[in-house]
Amino acid sequence: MTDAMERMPELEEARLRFAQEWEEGRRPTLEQYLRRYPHLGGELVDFVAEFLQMEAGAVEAPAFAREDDLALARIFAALEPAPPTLAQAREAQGWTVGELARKLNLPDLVALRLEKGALREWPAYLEQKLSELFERPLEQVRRMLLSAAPARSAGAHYRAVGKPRQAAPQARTFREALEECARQGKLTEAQRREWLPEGGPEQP
Amino acid sequence: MSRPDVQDRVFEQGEAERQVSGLRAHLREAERLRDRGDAAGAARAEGRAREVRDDLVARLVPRFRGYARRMLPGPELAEDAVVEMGLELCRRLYVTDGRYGYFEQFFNAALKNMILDGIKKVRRENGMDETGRPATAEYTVVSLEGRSAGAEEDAAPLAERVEDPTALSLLEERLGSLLLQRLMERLPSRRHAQIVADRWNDMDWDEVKDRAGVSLRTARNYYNQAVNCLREIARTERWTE
Repeated sequence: MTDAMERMPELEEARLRFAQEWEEGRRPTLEQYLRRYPHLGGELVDFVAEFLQMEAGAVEAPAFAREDDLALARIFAALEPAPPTLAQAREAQGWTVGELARKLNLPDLVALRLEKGALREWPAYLEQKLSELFERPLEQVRRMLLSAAPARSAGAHYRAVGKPRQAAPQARTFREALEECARQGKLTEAQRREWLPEGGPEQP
Repeated sequence: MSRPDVQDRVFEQGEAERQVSGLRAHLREAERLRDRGDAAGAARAEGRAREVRDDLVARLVPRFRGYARRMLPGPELAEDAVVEMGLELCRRLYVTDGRYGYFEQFFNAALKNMILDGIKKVRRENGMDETGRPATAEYTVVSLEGRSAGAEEDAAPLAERVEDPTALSLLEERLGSLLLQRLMERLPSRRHAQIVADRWNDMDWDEVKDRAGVSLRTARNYYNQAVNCLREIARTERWTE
């Protein structure tokens, strides 16, 4: 029938031929197939019996699954790859941290800290920008950032005896990191306008 | 009469084949771009492939459900089969080395075989054999009711005792004349022929059992015995073209 069929195991080929003849409205008989594939006897009987049972009457079904179809949701969830980390997503694009920083219009240090999960309380605008940059849904971008972010805001250290002692804050807020860069003269005017305007970052 | 939002055919002739070809072209393009170091272009091509895939799956899920409910006992098993079929379809669509190239030529036929594979898999995973009977480790389950019903048959040649000639000729259409003759020689009763003919001619189990005047369990037993007979004939007869 075709090259594709010739490369198939014989039972697969027989099954496909039978189903295709059926689709074309020719009504193949089991006997014809037993003559064509005499050594596949039992398997052919099982296949034809199942096939005819499946084809017993038309299956009328909606043209599309509903959006809230649970089986469809299970399929899509299983197909969805686990989102990469921000660093993996950047590397997949072939960018350095510096290039990512320039695309986001952020200081290199802030981009690096973001990747390492050393920042918290980033603005929604950052998620939106990353979503456009990596062409990924917002939800995935959020998971990428959260998977890198520290579980506690400022790394409290606990000892076996005594009260918890507050450690020096390791995870800055996004804004604190930018302000630190500004103090060190590493924040350009364009970056300041975009990320530290009065009342929060500019919205697109 | 079919409702406007309900249809018997999912795709027009050639439509699905074109979609599968397009999807695989996007995947090959993504691979080519990635080899050239264009990761962003590759991601865009993969995104286009994903759109086609998601559209195909969303259109096929209701169809999978229809077949799964027909072939499996219980809605939970059917839903598991729907998921199994959806995932297996996606897996096969994403193979670009030609192994499943036939989806681009004979989509519906390939799909139906895949549906049957999915149903078999769910049966195996849920304590049934591949044909849907309880897996009994080769011990035979005997129906006492079936035995008493069969005892009523007289000894005249079976083909002469089939009351419904239409059913007989429909069965011949499915089997072929020699195979039908061999089957008639071996079937223990008229009911067996009636049941297998009705079942293979688009009749649902309720109608089949009512026409044969037996319980559903007996009807299924008779049907299974008839299929066993066919298997035996298929294995022992010399079939050559």
